[in-house]
Amino acid sequence: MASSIESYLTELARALSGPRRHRRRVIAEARDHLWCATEAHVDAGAPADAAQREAIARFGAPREIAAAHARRLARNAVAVAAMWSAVAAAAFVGLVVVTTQLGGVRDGVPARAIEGGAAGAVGWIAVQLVAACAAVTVVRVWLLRGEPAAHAGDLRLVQRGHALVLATVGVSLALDLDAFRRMPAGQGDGAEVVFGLALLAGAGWLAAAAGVVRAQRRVRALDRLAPREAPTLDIVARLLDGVVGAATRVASMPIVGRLARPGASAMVVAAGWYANPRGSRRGRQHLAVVALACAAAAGFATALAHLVAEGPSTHGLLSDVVVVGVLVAVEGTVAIGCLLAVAVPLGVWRPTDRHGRGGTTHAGPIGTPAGS
Amino acid sequence: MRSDALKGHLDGLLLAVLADGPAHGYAVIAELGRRSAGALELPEGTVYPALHRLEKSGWLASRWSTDAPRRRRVYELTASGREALATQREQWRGFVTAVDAVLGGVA
Repeated sequence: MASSIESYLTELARALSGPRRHRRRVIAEARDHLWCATEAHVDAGAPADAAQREAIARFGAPREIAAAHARRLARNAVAVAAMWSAVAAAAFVGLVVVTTQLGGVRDGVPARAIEGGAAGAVGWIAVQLVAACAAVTVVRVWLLRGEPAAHAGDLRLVQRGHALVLATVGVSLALDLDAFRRMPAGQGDGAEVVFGLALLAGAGWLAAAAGVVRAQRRVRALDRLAPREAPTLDIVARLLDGVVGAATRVASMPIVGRLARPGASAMVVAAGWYANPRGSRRGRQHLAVVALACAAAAGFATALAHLVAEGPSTHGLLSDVVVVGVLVAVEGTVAIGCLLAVAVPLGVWRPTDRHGRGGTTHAGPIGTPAGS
Repeated sequence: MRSDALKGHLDGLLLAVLADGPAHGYAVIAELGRRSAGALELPEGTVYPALHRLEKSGWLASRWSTDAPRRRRVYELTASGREALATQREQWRGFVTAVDAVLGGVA
């Protein structure tokens, strides 16, 4: 007859998930633990059967133990998938930029890749969103390095950023694929090869991003077994999900086109920083700086693409500098507007709070007098 | 003390126990119970995911023991684990001092 311990281990093995090597290790450690505990109880005078039952009771229910292991594995899966998505995003953005430049300098080609697909209105939105999402992902995963007890909420923004961008990039890739099929072949400059690689990288990012969303949803489902987040934060976060989702859908419309790009980037950044469940004061203080940096980078990239595609201005260097300055200013202004429209009403950021006091979800040190 | 009260402190407790030298899972948990005189209550099986997390973050290293009657995983503190323990001790002392100043000494 099988011992109580072996029956328990069989049940635990059924409840465990994850790689086989991991499950074998968990079972081996549980077996050693349970027999050690049984021996200790027997040494203390307990009968063998009672000692086994006591050891099992102290160890915990199989489902509880399996859930604890699954949470750790799922968090790790989120981090791994997020890093892969960042790598794919870098490849996607880089190749799209190369495609744009190839299309811009090539003579005799009726339709540049920039106009046909990857760098069209939707394509550029996707590229910027992917870049912003990748930046937020890398920052968040980097900040969480060496924090073994990271909760699902700590990685929530990674899921939200990817979920926001998935639909936009899907539409963009569909348009790009159509443009790719219509591209004239045999031009000999490699544009179609780079364009094809960009599409592959974009598809790879989609797969990685889907993995992030899936893994993070699993973490959240497991964490519901032991919730710890303040419910008010979740309610506001869900509200923000709806606002940002609707804004992103509007920004994805071709008619919104150019002005939507920096706004969407700013909102992704704002949503990311807002999702910081620990209420990082520093993160909120730097919210505007991050959004402005994204907008400035977007404006600079747009100006650079414009200059490369059209060539230097005939009016001299000063004219080119003015063009770059105007584009950066336009993108920065729109980014600030979007930031204020989303972040201020929700209390994410207060423009007048230069010392980081206040905020709707961050309490100051206990005993700090109001207004001090 | 209930297990939810231990959240946020379990990692530091495990690091502190392993600061005395390598030990396998049961020995770590038994030592935890001995030092706390049985005051710390939590399902013993949930300690293993915490040990795995600490290993994944580089604060612990582990190996299979060759001189045990069964397959046995032995854990030990790494250099970064010692640094993390020192930080957690410092934070804990600061917390205790602040709370004690408000509540008043219990001694």
